[in-house]
Amino acid sequence: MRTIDITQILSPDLKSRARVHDLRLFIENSGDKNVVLDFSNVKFATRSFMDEFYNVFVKEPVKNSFTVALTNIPEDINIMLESVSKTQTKAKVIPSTSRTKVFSSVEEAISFLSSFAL
Amino acid sequence: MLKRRPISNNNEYLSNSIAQALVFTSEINRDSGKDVTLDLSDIGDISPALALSLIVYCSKCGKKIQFVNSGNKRDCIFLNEQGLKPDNLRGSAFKAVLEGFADKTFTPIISFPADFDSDYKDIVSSLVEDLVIRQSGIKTNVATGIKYIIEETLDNITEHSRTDRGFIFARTNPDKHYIDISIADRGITLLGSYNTLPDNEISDDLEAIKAANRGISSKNLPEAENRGYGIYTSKKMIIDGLKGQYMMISGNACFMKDNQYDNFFSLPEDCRWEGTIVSFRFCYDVPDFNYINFIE
Repeated sequence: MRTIDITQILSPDLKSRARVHDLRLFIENSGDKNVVLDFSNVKFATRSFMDEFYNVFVKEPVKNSFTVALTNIPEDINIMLESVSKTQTKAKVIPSTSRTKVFSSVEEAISFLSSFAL
Repeated sequence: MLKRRPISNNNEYLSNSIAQALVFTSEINRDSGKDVTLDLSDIGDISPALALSLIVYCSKCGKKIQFVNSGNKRDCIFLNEQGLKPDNLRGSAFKAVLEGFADKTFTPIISFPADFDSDYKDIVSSLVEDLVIRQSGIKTNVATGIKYIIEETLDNITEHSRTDRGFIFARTNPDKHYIDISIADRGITLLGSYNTLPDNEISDDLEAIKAANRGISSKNLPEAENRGYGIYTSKKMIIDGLKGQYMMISGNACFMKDNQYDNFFSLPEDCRWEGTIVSFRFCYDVPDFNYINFIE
């Protein structure tokens, strides 16, 4: 079993969905069948990265030619991983409380937005 | 040189930047020539929202736009060049240019390749985040939140906009302890992104911006509705966590929100941006802020 420091392949900041696939390709090309991904040097991760990571490595591991275990996940990264795992089939329902204003002319828009206090 | 109506120099509110941008864009539209010169002498510090609104508009208007009377302070933000381009420099040279901004309260406007396979987005975002954090001296808890918001917004550019270039620009107000950041693309707009869906029913920019801000992603998987959280989470962090304001423009639709206002605007059809601009302002003196509390 091989332990890979994920930051050595990617970076201490885990971002961009595409990089998850770079990581997967790296592991596939290494030929190792059993891999441990070490998160101990990870400083930051976006939700988008963790969502893609979950879909590629955690949700359906049988699709990979290798098995992956995760270790030393920082607390906030783990919270994010748990959050994405719970929202895979949960559409975010955001109630609409917004107002809508339609401007009929650019002059009207300029006049309104010049005095709008946001 | 265009004769221009008086323009507000008020940067107190984000919405004023759009009013300023509309003054300039309407003048560009009225001018029948192909070469247009815009006078910035009435403008104080150019806000990120104004700067990127102008760049996105000018890059697609079909005219050659020159900004004048901008003075040294504005020259070094690379407005006429439509942003500092890291792909035109060696990596070390780009870092050297950014280091020159360490003692300022603003970054240069940066224009970066935004295609899916490019590393520049991540390189630029890391350097800009580090620069903003150094310039403002903000604490780690807020710095991590800023990184999250910037990264999620930039991800939307590469995921959805199909643009060649993205833009980012930040300015700190050390007196009032807030930071303005704008991130933009000149891509297919939110409506264009929804139009890539096979069963799309969204038919105009206003519907598109409403859908995007309600968490309806154009990339939701048929078997897993797992996307659409980026904008929602970022807005919550900015408004609820960092006492800030959020603004988005795409096509001829605009959305503005803070803890008092929550408004969509439909602009006239000739006030159209061929791209998407996201701008936010937030306080950076928030000791109890923790970004992880906003992750759902």
